[in-house]
Amino acid sequence: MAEHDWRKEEDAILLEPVFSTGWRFYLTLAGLGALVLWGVVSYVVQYERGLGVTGMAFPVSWSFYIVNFVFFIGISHAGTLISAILRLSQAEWRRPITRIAEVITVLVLGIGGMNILIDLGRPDRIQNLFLYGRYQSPLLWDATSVTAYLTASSVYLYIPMIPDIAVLRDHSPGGWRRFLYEVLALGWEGTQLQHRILNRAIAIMAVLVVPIAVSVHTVVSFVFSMTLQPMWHSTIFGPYFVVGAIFSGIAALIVVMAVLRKVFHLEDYLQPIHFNFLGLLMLVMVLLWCYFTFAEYLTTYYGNEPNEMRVFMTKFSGKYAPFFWAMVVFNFGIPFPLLAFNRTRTIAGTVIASLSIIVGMWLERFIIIIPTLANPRLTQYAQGSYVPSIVEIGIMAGCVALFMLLYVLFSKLFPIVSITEVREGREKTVEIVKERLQRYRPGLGKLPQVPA
Amino acid sequence: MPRWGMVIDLDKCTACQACVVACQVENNVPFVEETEYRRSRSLSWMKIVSETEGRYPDVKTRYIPRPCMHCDNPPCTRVCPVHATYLNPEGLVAQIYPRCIGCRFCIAACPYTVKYFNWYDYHDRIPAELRRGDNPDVSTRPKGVVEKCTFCHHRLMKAKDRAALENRPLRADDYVPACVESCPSRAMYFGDLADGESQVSRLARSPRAFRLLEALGTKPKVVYLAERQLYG
Amino acid sequence: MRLSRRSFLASLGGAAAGAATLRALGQEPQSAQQLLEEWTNFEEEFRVSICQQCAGGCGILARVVDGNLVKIAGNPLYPVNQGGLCMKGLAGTQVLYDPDRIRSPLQREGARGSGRWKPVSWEEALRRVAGRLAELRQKGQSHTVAVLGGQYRGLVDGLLRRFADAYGTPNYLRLRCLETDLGPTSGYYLQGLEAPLAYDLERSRYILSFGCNLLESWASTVNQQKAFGRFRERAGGEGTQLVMVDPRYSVTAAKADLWLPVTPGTDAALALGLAYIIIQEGRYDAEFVRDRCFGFDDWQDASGTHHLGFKTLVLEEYAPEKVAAITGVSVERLFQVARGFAASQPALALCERGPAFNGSDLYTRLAVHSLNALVGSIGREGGIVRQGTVPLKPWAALPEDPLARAGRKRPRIVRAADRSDLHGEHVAARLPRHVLAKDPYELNALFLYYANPLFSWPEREQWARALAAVPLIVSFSPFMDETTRQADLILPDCTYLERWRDDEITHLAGITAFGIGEPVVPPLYDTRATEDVILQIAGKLGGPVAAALPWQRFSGLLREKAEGLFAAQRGHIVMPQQPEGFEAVLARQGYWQQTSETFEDFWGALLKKGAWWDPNDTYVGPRQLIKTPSFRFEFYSQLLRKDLEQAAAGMARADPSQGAAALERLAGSLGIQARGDRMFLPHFEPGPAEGGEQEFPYLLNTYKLMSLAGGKGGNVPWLQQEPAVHLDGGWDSWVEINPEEAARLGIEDGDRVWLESRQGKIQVRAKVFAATAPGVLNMPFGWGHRAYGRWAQNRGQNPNDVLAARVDPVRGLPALSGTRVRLSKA
Ligand SMILES: Nc1nc2c(c(=O)[nH]1)N[C@H]1C(S)=C(S)[C@@H](COP(=O)(O)OP(=O)(O)OC[C@H]3O[C@@H](n4cnc5c(=O)[nH]c(N)nc54)[C@H](O)[C@@H]3O)O[C@H]1N2
Ligand SMILES: Nc1nc2c(c(=O)[nH]1)N[C@H]1C(S)=C(S)[C@@H](COP(=O)(O)OP(=O)(O)OC[C@H]3O[C@@H](n4cnc5c(=O)[nH]c(N)nc54)[C@H](O)[C@@H]3O)O[C@H]1N2
Ligand code: SF4
Ligand code: SF4
Ligand code: SF4
Ligand code: SF4
Ligand code: SF4
Ligand SMILES: [Mo]
Repeated sequence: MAEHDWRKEEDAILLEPVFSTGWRFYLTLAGLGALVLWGVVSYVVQYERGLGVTGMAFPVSWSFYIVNFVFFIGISHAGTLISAILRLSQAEWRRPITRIAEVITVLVLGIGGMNILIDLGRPDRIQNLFLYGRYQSPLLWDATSVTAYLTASSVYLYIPMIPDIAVLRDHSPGGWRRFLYEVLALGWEGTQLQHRILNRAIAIMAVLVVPIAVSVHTVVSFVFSMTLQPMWHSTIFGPYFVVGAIFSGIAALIVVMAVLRKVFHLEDYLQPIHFNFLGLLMLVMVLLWCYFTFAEYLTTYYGNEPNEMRVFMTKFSGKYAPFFWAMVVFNFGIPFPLLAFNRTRTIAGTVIASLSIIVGMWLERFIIIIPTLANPRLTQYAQGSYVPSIVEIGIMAGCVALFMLLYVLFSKLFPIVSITEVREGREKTVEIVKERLQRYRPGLGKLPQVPA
Repeated sequence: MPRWGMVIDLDKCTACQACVVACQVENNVPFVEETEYRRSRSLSWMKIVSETEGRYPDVKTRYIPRPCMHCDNPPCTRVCPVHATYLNPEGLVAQIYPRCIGCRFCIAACPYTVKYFNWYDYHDRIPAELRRGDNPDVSTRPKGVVEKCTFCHHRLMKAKDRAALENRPLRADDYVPACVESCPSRAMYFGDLADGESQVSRLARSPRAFRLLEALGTKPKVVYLAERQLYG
Repeated sequence: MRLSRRSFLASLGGAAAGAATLRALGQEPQSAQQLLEEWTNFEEEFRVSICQQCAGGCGILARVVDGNLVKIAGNPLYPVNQGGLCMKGLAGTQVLYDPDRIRSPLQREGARGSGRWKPVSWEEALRRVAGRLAELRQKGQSHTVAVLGGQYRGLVDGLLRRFADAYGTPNYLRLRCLETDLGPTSGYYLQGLEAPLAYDLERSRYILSFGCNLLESWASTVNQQKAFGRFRERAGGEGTQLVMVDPRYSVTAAKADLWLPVTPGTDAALALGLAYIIIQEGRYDAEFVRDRCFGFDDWQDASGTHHLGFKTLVLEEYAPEKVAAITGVSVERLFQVARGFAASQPALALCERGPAFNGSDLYTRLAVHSLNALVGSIGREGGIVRQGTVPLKPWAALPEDPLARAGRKRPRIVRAADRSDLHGEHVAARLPRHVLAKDPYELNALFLYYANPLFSWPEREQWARALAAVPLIVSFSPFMDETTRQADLILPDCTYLERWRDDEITHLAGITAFGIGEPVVPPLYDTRATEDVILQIAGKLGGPVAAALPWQRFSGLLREKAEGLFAAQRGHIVMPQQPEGFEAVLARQGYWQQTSETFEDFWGALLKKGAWWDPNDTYVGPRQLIKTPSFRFEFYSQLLRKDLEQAAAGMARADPSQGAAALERLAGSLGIQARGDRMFLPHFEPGPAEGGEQEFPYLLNTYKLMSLAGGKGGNVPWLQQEPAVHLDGGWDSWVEINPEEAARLGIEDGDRVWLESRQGKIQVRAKVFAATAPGVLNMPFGWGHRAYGRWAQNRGQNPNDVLAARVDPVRGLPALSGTRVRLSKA
């Protein structure tokens, strides 16, 4: 059977990356693959010789991997959470970006979780988590909620993708790809009933995913706040981490959107307005993040407890001040003006702001974790500093590259913008919005009753 | 059930570090060579920490020997995901090396910074000749696990067995950790805090008694007696 | 002892742990059954012996499991340490198992110091040594053979002396430092004692230490710490106050009740300044001074000549303001300490070794010791007590041997030709000068026992040149140290854990005891105890030498010596301390109860418990402790006068001046600045000025660490890792700098700095330490080895590389502190 020519499809451009492969793709693959290989080799070295190959020591016994763990998990809030919130709030402009976002979540969550494993001194004993798991440990809370979030996010990514997979199936010439799409499409025919079930499932998942997402970063923060350590033992760490997570998540989303827009020529789908809206959302997060940071640091400063102050001072004016102030600049100094003005809240503007925030939020994780460990309560007993080793840098590069690589592969297999949702939007948006407006616009609902 | 505890009289302690080395020998705590030392990777279950205040000539250095506090309310055990560190019924905070997955959460959670990590297989790096001196009663730790002062737990087990063999109850002086045993100025005391009449209990009630970071509520079972000032 | 299988497995915390340990021991675990069998059938033994990491002489209890030494603890019965042990003693297993030990006799191949060796058999090595010795002896050159000893204790000292005597050389020399080894000092000159002074630290109420680093070094630090623990136990009304006089804020200073930072080399002035206040305010023990002292007031001799008394001297020359200016100790502090010292009885003033190597050793000791007489602390509990003697069976008379007698009668090689050097013959550090000058004769063979002068002493180039001039150098060291590297032949000793040990405890703490121990483990390698080797060499030499040393083995000699203890009818083999009972009371009154029926029993018990002890030999009244010509404590030392006059007379043979003129000449040659009566009285002599305060603004002070025993300990990783509590160093040495000085020079903690004197310069790590005095730099001694195995070699720096060739004015001891240096950022 001769399949339909995908080029004739509406939104063919969305299918293009899936069906046509250029040398750029292979080049990218090779580049990222090399980086991933660097990461893998680094890890093998670490596995063989021990965590001694890292820059960690006494008392800074957590560093890059845990920073990356928190950071990646934070980024993961880009997707599923944002997409769910936008879906639930029926923001129409969400349609081309939901999948872009959700893929980020799934991939980055896996990589984040992986960092915890990378950080283990005895990864070969991971089975002990199941054999002797102790539920008092926030680490298990993390494992649980990350797993839950990963599962939910994957489902949440997958379900809305089914109609698109059916489209792919219909265009596939055969071979393993066709088989893959056949299986994944779950026999989607696009019937009324299938649509109803699908929408229902999406709605349920959207609701489900929000609390899980919030819980994830809350318990991530608990890893720190449940200890008694200075500047960790804080009640606002939960919301603070969630806010930071969403903050960095949006930033990551914007950057990914901009790249995809450029590479896959999606200018028609990802319009300046998308960046503008996300930029506004991010602006809110900038302010929220500042608010939390301010509240956190002011209470420490005002309380003036010596142990807390020692950590505070290393951050504020001591050894870690460059990182601290860089964080402030990257998270506020650069993005705030860019996002605050309509004139700069352009694609370029939001991308610059986002890149800055990504760096800033990584620094934030670093600045939360390292200075506290380096200045324990009994500082005179143990003081330390930390410089990452080449192995850690390799593994971090590998992680970032792995994320990109998987993203590229995903976009090679599936349309990165949801064809179904876009079509649905095109067909129904006006209707839906009109209907909705009818419901809440004052006076408008009564309009028909007014005698002509 | 006894609650083993230690009293360290800072007035008598001369910061001689006999306890430090006694512990290393007794518990097969590996030394690390210079490069690792410079990276502050050395392991020292017992450590003398010092703090100097003032300027010449009006200075004062204070020394505190610091083992694990064997907290009755230990923040370190709760966070362990695999139950590799726990508070045993006699009040010892124990480590199970073969179970530890090396997440180092307990290190991060201990407010006293007494836990050490095996960044490498340090024991393997020690020449075979030197390893003949290992104490066969104490297992050596492989890379990737956390270790700390155990209150010389193996000595308790041996003492109990000896008492059982001799068909008698455990006596106060049957169980003495290696550091306490070697302390030249007899600044350390060890015994049962549950027994109100024991020497450690009596000393722990002294007006000079204090515990490190008492306000955290960790309830350490290492009690210090403050230094006195005799001379004006 | 043998443990049950259950207990053993339990003690391991499971068989898995057992397997891990087994692997660690380098054995592969076999079948589980086999494993279990091996583990349940282990052999565990506890053996007593004596530590020899430093010369403190603490008793140890070694735990040996399946032939491996796995733990060294303190012997709880041993009089010196009573169970405690210091970090060096505890780390002894790493000395035994040092992978870089010398494993068999070695003969040099290639040039000296080239490091190329050929293993040879003991038979061959001994033949070579004995052959050469016999040849020299035959040629009447036996006196050109010298034995250079270092820090060790026990009968090996007597054995080496006996060997030297029997062979025919006066040159058994020891490079030593505490009073016990230095020939006559304050105990002899002021009290007329031959035995060293003994201090009853534990019962004293006030201890004024002039540079005696009680809590880190000195005699047995463990013993002193034990006493310190007692001070603190008695705190409150009866606590002992410890005042530490030291330019450096040592751990002892930090733990003391008061630290008196003093200008280096001015202790005598400080002591006499305190004496001034005590005398001026009438706080001295007037009765003791009147009845038991000589030379306190001015006096007239038989010829009617007026002589200066101590009181006049002190009151005229050591007023507080003046002393404050010299010593840097404020007038208020002087009053505070003088009054405290006089008010808290019994009180002790200590001066042994510390400042002695910095300035005028002899007069400083005299000045400090006179404080003890002022407050009547001679011969009382908590003061100066008696160092008793151990009733070992005496050596038999030497067999008649003209060759040996002729050799013995030659002057020691370190003795000045005109004998004007007073105590020169005790100062082995003078050896290089004499060897190089062939004065009074050349040296043909040098045996090194526990001595490493190429590392340990200043003027190392001179030592190196002197060694190069000796045709045969034999080292007994089990370790390839700097000096051993220059040897022609190495006859490696067993470490102290592999050989018989003994100790005639002549201790600064006044303990009368004898310690003994069998080898803890058999020798790991093809090494032999030097004691046995000496006997074997004597055997090979045959004739009267062999007859003087008839024992096959050192253990035989020990056994024979111990017969004296059994026969003495006093003291007892140490036992767990009993509450004061009837027997103890009787014992103190001189009754003695026999505990062993036969010598066999006695010997067996002695080897098991580790020591014989006579605790009632220490406390005696002042009468037994004062043996001067006047039978009084002599502030004005007639013995010193006699020695000086004799030396002056000796000089007079070469130079015709007589009487006062001769004395003056002698004083000039010895570097004594005082003249007349002052020469025989305690007084302050400013040290030899080096000059160059502008160019070299700092005084370099070197000191010992608790963690390292002199040049030893560098090969012990556990000690290298935790060398200093106050500074958190490790695997490296450092120099301590005052923070303001450091800031001025732009030096930050941890920077590398150049430390430069006229002698040379070294690059060290800077430690900015708040307690360091501004004009002083403190650097520990013990690092900077250029040999001694993988752990010691090329780590840190040796301060001896920059120490100036300054010697103590009276006796010629090398000054280990006080060299002028400058500092700059590297
Ligand atoms: N741990 C340890 N113990 C040892 C040894 C060892 O190497 N290590 N060696 C043993 C031997 S061989 C010896 S000789 C003894 C030595 O024992 P000590 O005589 O106590 O020698 P040090 O420990 O060097 O302490 C000397 C102190 O004198 C101070 N000092 C320097 N100049 C002056 C001065 O002018 N006036 C005053 N008042 N103080 C001054 C130094 O700062 C230093 O703190 O220790 C023995 N015990
Ligand atoms: N700058 C400075 N220099 C100092 C001092 C100082 O305070 N400052 N202190 C000085 C003092 S007080 C002293 S006593 C000297 C100490 O210096 P030395 O008298 O040289 O003593 P060590 O270096 O302790 O040990 C000497 C040698 O003994 C050997 N040895 C070790 N174990 C054994 C054994 O079992 N058998 C045999 N036969 N030999 C063995 C080792 O090879 C070692 O090199 O240093 C002096 N040098
Ligand atoms: S052994 Fe005793 S005196 Fe020495 S440091 Fe330890 S507690 Fe203090
Ligand atoms: S001191 Fe630290 S490791 Fe020890 S019990 Fe307390 S919290 Fe745990
Ligand atoms: S490092 Fe080991 S003992 Fe510590 S929390 Fe993790 S698994 Fe538990
Ligand atoms: S109690 Fe035992 S394990 Fe703990 S510091 Fe002392 S010697 Fe080490
Ligand atoms: S003081 Fe230390 S090194 Fe010296 S003999 Fe005693 S235990 Fe050994
Ligand atoms: Mo010495």
